[in-house]
Amino acid sequence: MSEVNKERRQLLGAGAAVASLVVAPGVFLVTAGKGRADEEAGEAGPQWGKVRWGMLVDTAKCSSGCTQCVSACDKENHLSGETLPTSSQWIRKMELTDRETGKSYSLPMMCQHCDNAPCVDVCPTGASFKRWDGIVSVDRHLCIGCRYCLMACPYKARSFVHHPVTDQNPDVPRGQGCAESCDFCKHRIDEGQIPACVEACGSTGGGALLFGDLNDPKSEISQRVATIATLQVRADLGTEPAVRYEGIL
Amino acid sequence: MSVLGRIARCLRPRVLGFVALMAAAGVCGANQGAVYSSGNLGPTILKAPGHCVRPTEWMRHNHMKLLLEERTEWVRQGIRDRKDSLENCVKCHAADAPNGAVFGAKQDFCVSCHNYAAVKITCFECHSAKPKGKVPAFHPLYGPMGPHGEGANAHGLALMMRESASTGRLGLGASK
Repeated sequence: MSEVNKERRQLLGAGAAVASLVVAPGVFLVTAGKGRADEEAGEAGPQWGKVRWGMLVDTAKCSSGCTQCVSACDKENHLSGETLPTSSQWIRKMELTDRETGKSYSLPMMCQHCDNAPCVDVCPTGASFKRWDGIVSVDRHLCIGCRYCLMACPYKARSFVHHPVTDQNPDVPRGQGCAESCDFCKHRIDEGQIPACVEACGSTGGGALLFGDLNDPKSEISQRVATIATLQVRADLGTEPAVRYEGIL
Repeated sequence: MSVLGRIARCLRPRVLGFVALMAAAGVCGANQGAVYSSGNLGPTILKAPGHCVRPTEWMRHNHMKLLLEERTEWVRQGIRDRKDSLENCVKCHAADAPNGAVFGAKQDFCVSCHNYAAVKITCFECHSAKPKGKVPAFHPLYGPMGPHGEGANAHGLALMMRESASTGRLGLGASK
């Protein structure tokens, strides 16, 4: 090896060492970037996937005449309570009858807060979104009222506000021209309360609704879905709803 | 975020026009008691009880930016402890209003200025213009002081957004 080549190799080696040093802060910058997301969220704040709110409906306890959950929802979110084709319905009672046996069931149907939410997929503006804790909701600031999500939802859970709205609940802003649906009363959840329908069902209804964190193995809902047979409506679609039903298998 | 950023950029010329008008109005409007007016030229502004979350002059220029960044945290992340939320604005500014609201009648806090500046706001097509009258609490996940409270490590985003609001750059795109 000539002297020049040797020197050149040494120089290149030193350059490589310097480059690796440069890479190291570069890597550090990347981790710092990741850290910023955590910093944004705070230690106990919004962390994606940390919490997944879910609901379990015990159809054996849900009686056909009872509409306490619907009334509570209407009252909490200042809905009209009407069932016209143009009315907003965030939760509705369904009556199902098995044609062969004649056995009938009563159950509430609302936004199923899917993990793979079709309404989020189709939204052209990003208004329909899934929150860090699994709640599917509409950012009305971005909603243009195209109603694509109403078409996409296999559970017919979304409504469109056709008429001007007055006297809203200050915690639940809603108005004409936007799509909307059950959001598990996220304004209540953010304050540590449970959804209005669950509260009403527990106090004046049959206690058929159980609400909790599906990602927390110690929560009552997690332990129940782990021990008894429950059903996700149209599980074949792969939407992975957070609302489960027991007793209609 | 990027969608919001685009919307914000589209809105900027209007915002700047509004800021210019408001600045002109603000120069005339001195603090002269419960209701003060800048003679025959400016709007009559109802004075709210207590202290604002920011200096009055700053708010005249930047309240729309503050609300824009706050609403994103509020709606999409569920961070509800910010003092500069629309709900808290309404709570204070509707307190001494004759009809108990910030929007609706001609003399209401939001209406008086926006009518003068010929800026149409659509906030109260959805939001309630009347306060609910309860102290906001926090989700247990955040602890008693909330995500921005003492001991929490979440000042980064809020500070960045506030700084960018004061420098005229909307914070939504500043993280990139």
